Amino acid sequence: MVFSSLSFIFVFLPAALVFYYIFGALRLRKLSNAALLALSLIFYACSTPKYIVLLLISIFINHISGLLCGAQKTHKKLFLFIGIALDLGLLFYFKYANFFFDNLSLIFGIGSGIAQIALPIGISFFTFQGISYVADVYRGVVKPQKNILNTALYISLFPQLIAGPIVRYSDIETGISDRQESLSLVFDGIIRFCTGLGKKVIIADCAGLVADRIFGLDKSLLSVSLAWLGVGAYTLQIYFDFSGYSDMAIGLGKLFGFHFPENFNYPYISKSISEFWRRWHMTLSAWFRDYVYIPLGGNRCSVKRHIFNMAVVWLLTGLWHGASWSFVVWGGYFALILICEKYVYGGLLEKLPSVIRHIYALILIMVGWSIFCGDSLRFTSELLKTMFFMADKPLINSETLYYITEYKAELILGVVCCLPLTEILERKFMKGRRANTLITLGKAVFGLSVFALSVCFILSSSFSPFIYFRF
Amino acid sequence: MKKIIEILTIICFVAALAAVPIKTFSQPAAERLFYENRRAQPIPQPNVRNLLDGSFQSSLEKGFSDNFVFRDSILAFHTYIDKYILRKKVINDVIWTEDESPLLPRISSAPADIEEIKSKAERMSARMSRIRDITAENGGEFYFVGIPEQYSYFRSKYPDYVFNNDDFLSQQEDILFRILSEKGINYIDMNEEFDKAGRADSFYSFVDHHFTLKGAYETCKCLTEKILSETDKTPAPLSETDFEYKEVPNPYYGSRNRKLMGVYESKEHLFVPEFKERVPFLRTDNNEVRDSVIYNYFMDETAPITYETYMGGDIAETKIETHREELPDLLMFGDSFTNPMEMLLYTSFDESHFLDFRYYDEKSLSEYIKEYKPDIVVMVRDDTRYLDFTGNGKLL
Repeated sequence: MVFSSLSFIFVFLPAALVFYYIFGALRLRKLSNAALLALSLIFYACSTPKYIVLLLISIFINHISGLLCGAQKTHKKLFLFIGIALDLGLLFYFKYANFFFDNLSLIFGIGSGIAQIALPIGISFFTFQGISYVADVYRGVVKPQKNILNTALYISLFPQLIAGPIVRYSDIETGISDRQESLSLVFDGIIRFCTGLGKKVIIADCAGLVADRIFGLDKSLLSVSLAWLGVGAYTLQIYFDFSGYSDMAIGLGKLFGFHFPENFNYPYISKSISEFWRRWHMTLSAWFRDYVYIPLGGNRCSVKRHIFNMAVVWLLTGLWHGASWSFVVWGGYFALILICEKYVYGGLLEKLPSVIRHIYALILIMVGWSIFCGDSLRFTSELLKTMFFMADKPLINSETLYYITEYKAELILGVVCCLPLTEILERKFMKGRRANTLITLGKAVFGLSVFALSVCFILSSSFSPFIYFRF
Repeated sequence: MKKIIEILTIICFVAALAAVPIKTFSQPAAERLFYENRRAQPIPQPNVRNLLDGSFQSSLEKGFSDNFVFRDSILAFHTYIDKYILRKKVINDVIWTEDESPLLPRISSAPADIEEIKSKAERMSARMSRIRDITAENGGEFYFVGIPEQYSYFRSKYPDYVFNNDDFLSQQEDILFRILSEKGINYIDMNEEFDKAGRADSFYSFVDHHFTLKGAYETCKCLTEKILSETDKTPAPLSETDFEYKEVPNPYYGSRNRKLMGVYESKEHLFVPEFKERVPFLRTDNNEVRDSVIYNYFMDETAPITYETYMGGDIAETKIETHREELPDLLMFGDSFTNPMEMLLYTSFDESHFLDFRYYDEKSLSEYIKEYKPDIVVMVRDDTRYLDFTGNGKLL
């Protein structure tokens, strides 16, 4: 079940709100938490019923590991190791075993008879949350949670369960036992949810349609501009899809009284790749920083070691996104650029005019997405050759004109929405109490309008004429 | 004031979340979705099996969506936004440029694969040869009638930047008819014939993928003239003086404007033939005698009608007997393009059998020919299906 489905918005969500607020109204925090946990498990079961057991195993492993790490002083490192090994073992089995054995089979001719393993939804997210919890308990950042239902609620809380943001236990530790639902918070939650929904269904899905159709075209129909347009559309799709989903998660969290961390901060206005990664999927970057990069030594070491640390972190970041060589190359690509920005041309870059730096960052980001979006490195190679005039393709063709003519409004809207316009307007013109009311009114009108429009778009995507229309 | 706005917003949002499911679940379940011309997916009942295998969730999404309160109005609103706000020319995969231009489908761009066309055309013509031989062995003549589909007929009217599949359609026409000619198979290429007749817009519908009654008449005329000129079979000649084109006043929903959710205001109407001297006949559909009519009558002139008006739509087997033994017998098979042709052609023959192999599965074509021994066998295909070996292209 995804947040942008009609069954979530009009069946699951209203039922969840009623169920939750019945106990909330009675001020029964334990029961409202139990209700939220039950809803979260139902939510997960709706997507992949059989993997609910896996989620429960993960919860159990992390709860016990947390307890042992918190209670023991002598062997807590061992329990940390065991807990993380079990978490990663599950992740490896379900996410990477196919990839591993496929490559083993390709290289050594062994392991080819291994049955294909389906990927449980959200496993990367809840595994990382579990690891962060155990590690934080080990480091004494948080106290171990004694009630397994609360640990379960932290790991399985449905708004952030399947696509993040990656919430640390410390982010919601107090919220689990002592949170305050309020009208303002619910209002903010609604607006945030509606905004995210609009990002996903009005912009991302449309940009995705353009990207899919362009990437699905026969190679002979590609032109240089069309390849750039396809990658540009994908660039919009992945941002609005992911940030829209994060917005919906943050908004839903607020509806239930939680404050989740921000995940995106207008990444496409970055002037360097280092800045881009400070603005893109911030909870994942922070996770790798705190649980991989710093434990490896961070930047307080020799240059060689620092480069090694960066390479490890970015190759793992690539692998986290998916089990394929494309993602490994994608991680390596960013590792290379970040190392160069740090040690080769970072100083020079900062002296360049802002426009040039924006263009530099955007081109590298788009090249990165062209590696990310393909099913194979062969596809990426062909796409990049076309983009950079190395494939003997025309600059422009009728296909380019078609997509620009038909989708210009959505693409322009997408580009405009990449900019922090609302923040700029609020900062410049909206000061004082009256302005505050105006902002609230504006948000309300905007949020509800986007919600109505989004429902219209979702329904429209289900428009499915019978094949009879052809014959 | 801020508080009031927040409360009102929450009320509006919660009201929407409550009202939509209450109304959707309480209203009678939709059976058909008119504009999408398909059965509506029902809202499923949960049970242990569908909950455990995960199918409940996907069925719920489809069922809820199909039964969503004000679904048609919301889809019409979206179509309106696409047309009048976003100024799109391709809406719901229909190309809608100007109101006086035909509605055309969006075709997925793909280069023409000449080798594949040649190979398929060879295979198709080999099958036609076999049918031609079986027909001849049973005392008849075989004809292939190739008809351009509406988008093919109007392909020059596509906007410059929209793919119209011209290369594929032209290559296919050239290759197939050249091979048919080499193999001595009788054929009529209606694309050529329409050119000779002036390629009038009125031969084809602007809102549907079929030809109009005028286009069907032109095709029947070419067919009967060719039979008369090339064989000793003598079907009664067909002439426009024998009937009048009678306009059906009902609003006409073709396959194209139907997808535009009623936002496109069509002025086009269906026409039916009103014969000056009616040829009496007995009609049998799938072995059951039915009313001697060739098109549906509508008491309510405001009821929307579709191409199914002609002959009552696609039927597996229709037999029309006019009891004029001096005339030859006809077997014609094909997709829905045959329906308006059937309304005209039966007047030229003694006994006419019309088959649609998308639905007819009692006998194979060769078995049918051997048993019925028709004087004339006509295969009708439109050019989007020339090289399709399924349904009416299966042949053997």
